[in-house]
Amino acid sequence: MKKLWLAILLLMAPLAAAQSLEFGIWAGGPDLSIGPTVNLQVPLRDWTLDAYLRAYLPNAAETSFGLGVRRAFEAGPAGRGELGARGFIGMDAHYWAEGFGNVVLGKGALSVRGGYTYNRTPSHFWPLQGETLGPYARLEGKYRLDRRLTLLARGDFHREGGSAEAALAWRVRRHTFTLGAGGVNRPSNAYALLGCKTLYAGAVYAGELRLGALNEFRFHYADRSYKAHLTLAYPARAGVGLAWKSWKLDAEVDSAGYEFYLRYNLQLEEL
Amino acid sequence: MRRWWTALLIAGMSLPALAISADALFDQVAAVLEKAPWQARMVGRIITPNGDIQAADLIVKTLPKNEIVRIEFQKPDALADNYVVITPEKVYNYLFLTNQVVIYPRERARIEGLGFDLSRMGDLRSLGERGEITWGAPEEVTYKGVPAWYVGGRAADPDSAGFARVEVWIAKKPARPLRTAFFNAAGDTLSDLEWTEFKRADFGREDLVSFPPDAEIIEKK
Repeated sequence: MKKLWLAILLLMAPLAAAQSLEFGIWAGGPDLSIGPTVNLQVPLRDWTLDAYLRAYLPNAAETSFGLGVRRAFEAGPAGRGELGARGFIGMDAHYWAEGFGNVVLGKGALSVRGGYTYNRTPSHFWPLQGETLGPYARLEGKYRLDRRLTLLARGDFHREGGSAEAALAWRVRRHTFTLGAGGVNRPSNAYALLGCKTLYAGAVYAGELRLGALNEFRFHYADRSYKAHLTLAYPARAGVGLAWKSWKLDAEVDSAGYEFYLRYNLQLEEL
Repeated sequence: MRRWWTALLIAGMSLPALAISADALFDQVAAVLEKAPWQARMVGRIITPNGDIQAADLIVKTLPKNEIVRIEFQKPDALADNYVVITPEKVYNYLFLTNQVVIYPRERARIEGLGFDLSRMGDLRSLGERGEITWGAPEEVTYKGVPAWYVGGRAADPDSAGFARVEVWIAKKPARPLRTAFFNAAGDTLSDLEWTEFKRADFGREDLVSFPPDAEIIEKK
């Protein structure tokens, strides 16, 4: 298996001449594990090829390799679309495969993602897989009723259940307010959604509060220098993230453990 | 009789002064448009990708010194709040609904998606210089009460130009477009826009090449 990976990586090396490489270091616990990661991205006009490598220590059997391909369809100011697929396989033969499609055209946008996971990986950050075993699907849609009002809907479905949410967002000058409701797959499953996003002094501030069967507060901040996000949830879970220049740092903690993921994106054409 | 001769003489003398070639007229327009940053609202009709003609309302902002143009869509509804920024190096497409900025190298980008390439409207002079259009002689007209020139042109190769015929109304003073209309070979309108609310502006590069700070950036190689 190691020889196969090495051969694939060597084959892809010449493609790296004008592309990007993302290096990452992941760490998680409660029993400390460390995972150096590499993601090579090769754009060829409207096609993008991705290769992923994630080492994992001390349990090297969790080490995995992935490949992905995406095709973009551009329609200028009218919109764009994207179709893609990617898959991972680990040294212990665990695997994960996913297909996805996104389209935004005129007043509507739709994003669909579906896949199959053979087992869980210990990280929420890598390889960003479905949260459960077996098949899963995620959908997200937006439709603009007019320049002020937008309908939002999203859902995720997997073997153990899922959730669905619908909301209405309305824009007043630089502010966008969101009001919606959702449900999760359990008794007394409803929750309410309140959101507000505003542009102030050149920065975007956005907050979302979900209360009921799901209790979660999300906050996003973005200016020209960096983007940050914070998630606080009950039952106890917290996550923070920061992105600046070519760097990204994410951290998450819950009752099961903690994890950090630091990434650096290197544009090879700039060398 | 003396009066009649005097009138004829004046009229005869004034004829050469009134005549102007399309190239000279577009040079005057270019001198006005390239002098300083400006902003204009363009209102009319434009063809959509599926071939329908829809109401169009665009705000165009330019920074001639840096050759930057920003086109903000107010109408049609399907494009409202999207905008395009064209620079000598890159073209930026901002999509409001998904909060994405798609960046293309200028040489690869086509400002498409409307059923008609908007970037071709701007520089009428270069369209003639490149031989894409054969311009007729300008005619004096009054356009909505404004003394103006009317110029018609035909594309040498409609397939490569993307249009077959163009009509332009240009104000005399200052020389700036009042209306531009493009048609296909069947005579259907591709774009028919009136230039309204033309005004000088104090833009900098940062004002035009700017996007929401939380937008997702997608850079095409």
